[in-house]
Amino acid sequence: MDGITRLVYGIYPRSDELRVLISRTERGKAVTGDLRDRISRETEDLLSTFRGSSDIYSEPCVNWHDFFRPVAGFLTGFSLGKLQRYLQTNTFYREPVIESDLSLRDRFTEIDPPENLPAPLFGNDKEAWLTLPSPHSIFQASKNPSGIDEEKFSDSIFRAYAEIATELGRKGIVLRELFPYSDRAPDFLGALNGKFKTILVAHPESRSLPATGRNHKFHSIVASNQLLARAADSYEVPGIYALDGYNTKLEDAENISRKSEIAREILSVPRVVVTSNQHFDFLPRVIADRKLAVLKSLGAS
Amino acid sequence: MTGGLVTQEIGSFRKPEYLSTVFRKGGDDVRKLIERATLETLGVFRDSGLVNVGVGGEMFRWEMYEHLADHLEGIQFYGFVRSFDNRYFRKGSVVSKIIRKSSAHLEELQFVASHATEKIKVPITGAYTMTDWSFNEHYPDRHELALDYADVVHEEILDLKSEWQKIGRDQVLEIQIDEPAATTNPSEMDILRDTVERSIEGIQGCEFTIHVCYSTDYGILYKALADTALQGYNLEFANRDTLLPGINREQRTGYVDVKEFADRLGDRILGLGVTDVHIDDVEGSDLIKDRIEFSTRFQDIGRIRINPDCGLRTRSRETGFRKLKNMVEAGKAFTDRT
Repeated sequence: MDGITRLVYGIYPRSDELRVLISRTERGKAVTGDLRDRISRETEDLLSTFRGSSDIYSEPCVNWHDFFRPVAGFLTGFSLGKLQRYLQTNTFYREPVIESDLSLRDRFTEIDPPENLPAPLFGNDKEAWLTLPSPHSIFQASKNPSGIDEEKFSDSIFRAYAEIATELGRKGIVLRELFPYSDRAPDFLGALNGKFKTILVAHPESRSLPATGRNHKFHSIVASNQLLARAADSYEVPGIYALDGYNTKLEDAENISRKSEIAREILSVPRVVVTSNQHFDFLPRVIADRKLAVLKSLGAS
Repeated sequence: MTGGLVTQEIGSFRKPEYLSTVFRKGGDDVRKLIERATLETLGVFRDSGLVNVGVGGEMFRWEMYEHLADHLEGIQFYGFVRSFDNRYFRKGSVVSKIIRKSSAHLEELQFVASHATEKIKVPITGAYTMTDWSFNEHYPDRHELALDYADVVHEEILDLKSEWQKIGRDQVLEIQIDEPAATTNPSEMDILRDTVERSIEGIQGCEFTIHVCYSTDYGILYKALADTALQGYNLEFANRDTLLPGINREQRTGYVDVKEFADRLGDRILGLGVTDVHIDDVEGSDLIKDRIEFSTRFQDIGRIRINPDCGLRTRSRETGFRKLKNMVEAGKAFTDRT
């Protein structure tokens, strides 16, 4: 469809088969080699589906238990704390604890983060963008006994992300903002833009967006029309929430199309990125698959 | 009784593997295993010395949300969603008006009442938690959905009360409304209050308590429900406490909130969570006694009961037993001391 770029990002729900196999492996009733094979197959299958359903897609991360733990695994300086509720949901994540200065571990692709799955963190599809939590989100989610300040923390995270993207030869990075920005979003979130194409998916309840200036625009920021209108200097292509990652109700492709038309009109742009307001991991797999089919039906542009 | 201090469990206990591995198949054979597991669990509770044995560890229920949802019209299950790590639950989607098809707890109550002479407490998943843990494809807003869930809870309680009268026990029927999601959305405390009020409205002759756990702000709970007819609050505290012995604030950080409870709701019963259900460490009875003692600085001991923070289903049966036993011993040691 003209004027639409379809994006799928974040953790995609595991299949029942994978979920059961993980559970069996945890109980010592299946071997980790089988699990590795299953994760690789499921990742490949999903990437193949994503290729046919979207214009920009990122890794499905089906082996990730939550969105912060792998980061705490591939960087030194973190330990893992208690389970914490993620905002107003019934989903929990293991709290990262910032213990000391952060740096990327050697052989990060092969690291099995503590208590995470025995599988590589990233796949082999160079067309797939990386999907990673924004430093601001990690900082918000973490306990910080080290007292590190957020800007320094973000620099370390971005350095690590850049190293990862370079080593894996990726086109770009989808940064997920898992917490809403208050009235003033951090102004140092554009640091990665000069090096890589970066899409920032802001939390839908954000009240502001980062101002990154004309030199280092985000490839896209996904946010409300109102915020996007105020931050036109910060992105090349605006992005809208068209699919609800919090509800099983299926969207109608025509409504999405109308919504994108309205956004293009309001923002005076020829193209918008169309995606979900949350990754699909909050949904049952069958519903995620149906929502992906809706995205697919919007057609390649 | 342990010298006057009521000891109670909260609800769930780990199912024996012979039951958990076949539970979802249903049928007469599984029903027999449910009964066997209930009797065994009642035995565990009895051996630990509990005063109130609840419903024998909820062996009739697979899981608190799904159990009630399975007895309702209007909910469709599409599959599992993640709770954390590789732990998933079946989260229903509300696709039409919520209507109660049959009682979710009647058979359980009948069975337990005929096999236990101890005090019984029936946990029922609360309307707000049912709302919060459902996808909503049908109702225009969550308040309306929550009130329909509250009607279900109300009908359920009426049926249980009627059955309780037939059973003819010399005990007031204790109903515990389970609301782990109670304070998840601070902006929806009015919905929580309205659902609690509607769930118990006009029902006399029962004791109503609420169970809430892992809240980041009990204060909003106390405030929102202060004017309801709830007689007690069974709350988690141990998870937020230290494992250090002692009765000072530095050691008993998890129980500082008891003061706010006492200030607002001191005339109600406080079910004090004294053992952490999320760790395998079995807190010794001395530590548990310290937790009780610190709490009595704020809340009158006559209005304290002691219980685990939450259901013990996440721990092994052996660990669960040891936690309960130490809790009972601590209660006894505390009352003997005083």
